[in-house]
Amino acid sequence: MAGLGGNVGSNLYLRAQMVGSQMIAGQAITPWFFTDTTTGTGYGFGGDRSFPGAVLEFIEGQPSTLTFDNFSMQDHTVHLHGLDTDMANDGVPMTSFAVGGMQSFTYQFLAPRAGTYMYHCHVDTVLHLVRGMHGTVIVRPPDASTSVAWVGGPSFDEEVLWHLSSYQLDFANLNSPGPTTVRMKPDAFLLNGLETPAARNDVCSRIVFGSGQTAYLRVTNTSFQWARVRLGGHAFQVVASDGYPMAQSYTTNEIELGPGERYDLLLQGFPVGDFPGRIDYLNGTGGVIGTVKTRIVVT
Amino acid sequence: MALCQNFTMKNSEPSFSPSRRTLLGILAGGAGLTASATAKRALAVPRLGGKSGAKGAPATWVLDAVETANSFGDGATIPFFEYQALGGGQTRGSLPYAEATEGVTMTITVTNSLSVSIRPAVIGVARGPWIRAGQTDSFTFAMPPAGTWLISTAQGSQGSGAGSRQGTVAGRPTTGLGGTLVSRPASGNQVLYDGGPSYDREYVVLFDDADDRWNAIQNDPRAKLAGPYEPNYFRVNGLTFPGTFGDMDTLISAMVGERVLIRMGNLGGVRQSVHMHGFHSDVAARNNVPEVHLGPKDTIPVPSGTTTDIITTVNQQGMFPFHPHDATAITANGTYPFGQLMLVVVN
Repeated sequence: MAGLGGNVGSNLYLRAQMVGSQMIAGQAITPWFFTDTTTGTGYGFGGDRSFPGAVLEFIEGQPSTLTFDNFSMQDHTVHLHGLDTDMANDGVPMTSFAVGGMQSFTYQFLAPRAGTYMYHCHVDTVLHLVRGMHGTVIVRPPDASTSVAWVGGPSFDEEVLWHLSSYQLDFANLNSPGPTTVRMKPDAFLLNGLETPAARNDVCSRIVFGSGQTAYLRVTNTSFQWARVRLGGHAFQVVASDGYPMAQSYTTNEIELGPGERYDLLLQGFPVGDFPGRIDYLNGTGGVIGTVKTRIVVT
Repeated sequence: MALCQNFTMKNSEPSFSPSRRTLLGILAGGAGLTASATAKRALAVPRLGGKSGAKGAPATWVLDAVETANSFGDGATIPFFEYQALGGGQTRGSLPYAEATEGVTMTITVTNSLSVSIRPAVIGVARGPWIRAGQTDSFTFAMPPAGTWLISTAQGSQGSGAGSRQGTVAGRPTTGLGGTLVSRPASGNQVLYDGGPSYDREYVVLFDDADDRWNAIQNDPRAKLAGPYEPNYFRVNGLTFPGTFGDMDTLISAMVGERVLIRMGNLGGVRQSVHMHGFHSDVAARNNVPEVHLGPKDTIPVPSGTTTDIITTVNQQGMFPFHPHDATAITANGTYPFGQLMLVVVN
């Protein structure tokens, strides 16, 4: 995927911004998001859209820092979800602190085992997360390889990230949570920040690999809904979740992720063709409430 | 150099900022204890021993179904149905809890002090009789294999008739009429099940939720529901934050290096995906079936009407939130943070 493997390091940077305009469900909203301005774009994910935030790629076992500039007038934090930081660096106002408006903080931690993680603001989480303050963390193996999942783990020819989120338009004018931030009914169901049909040919979202090659798909669910992932009816291997290899990997043709879960999937032996990659968003009782699609192209 | 200093903090006493003092005040609230004393008391609470069901002896659990009222952080007071434990069991938070050894005979006796008929069941084990308002009845079964089981209740007019409120589905209540039944291994060993993982201490975490529009009419047998079930209030062990921090059965306390068994159940109408800060956990069993696929997880699904047993080896000290990642569940009707927000305290 464009952008993956381009931001690997042990001292990374994020800026919180609450500016600009992004089209969601046909309306222009002001996104709240995390950008890595060191790439020079001022945008988040892939450098071409506001949210999800910039992808952070650390290196297993390295003492690491994340310098966070809160370039807004509201409190924000970065919670490094799944990285098992210590309490002081957990990014939760209740147990550590919030980073005030126009303030900075450098989070410090030991990068955990290679895998897929995520980050998000933990201030008024029910609102800030939905408004767009979330992103994916990838921890690379100790040699910083971008073609092996972990030491002793699977190698791959292509790597794609599917970062899942949803958006509710009536959250867009809120600055604090309240009676409207429950019983969610999202207006947009997003793949890497895009809806169908934009996601269909999105260079960051579609999976393109050659017959006989292996693709590695990292799926993170930052929405408050469940998500069911299907890859054109083809079977794939579930190899890791939440940063750890599966105790026993298994093969399936669909997988469901709860809010906050991550799964790493290995795509091998796909026939030549152009297949739909489909994510159904589910409510708390399992009903489909929205769908986003992209393409899986095997050449 | 600053980085190195930070890493060494993990094994030293944490310094407490004002925000932490605020939290610790919550922790100690209501108990008249300092935060430190509160944590010590939590650690002293015995977590083992099946007094309600000594090995081999028949066990009994006597419950009374009553209507209660729960106050929430947004100021609302919502009526709930709950079981009150009258004998043979204990409570976890405000919800009933009992334990007995696998294979022994268990008799559950329920008095229905509500205005609607109810039918208690132990999910996947035994269904009790329909019990009309004002009546008492019992059901008896052999304790299931060692693990974590849920008592659940259907309500209505025995499943038919005008005015029946069939808001629940089989095996899944929506109004708080639930509890936890732990089956201890026959060996008496401190393991989840014989041949299964061991642990140093254990907790029960039982999620449920409520739609205030449904709960408002739950005790009126003539009322008819309008609209789907869409919960807006969320509880753990019958409590909500900050009560979850102040309850010694719900505040998860441990010492560095201990293995903590957390028996999670979900009697709510919606499934949850629960995230623990600071630690990954081994998923030991899902619905009392040993989990073989998953490695350590930081976010663990708990489907409605099921149990998930996890074992967390707490390897760093501090205070770490533990909560569903659908953050609407850590609100009181959208007001944040309340609901199913819990805390893991490691000394």
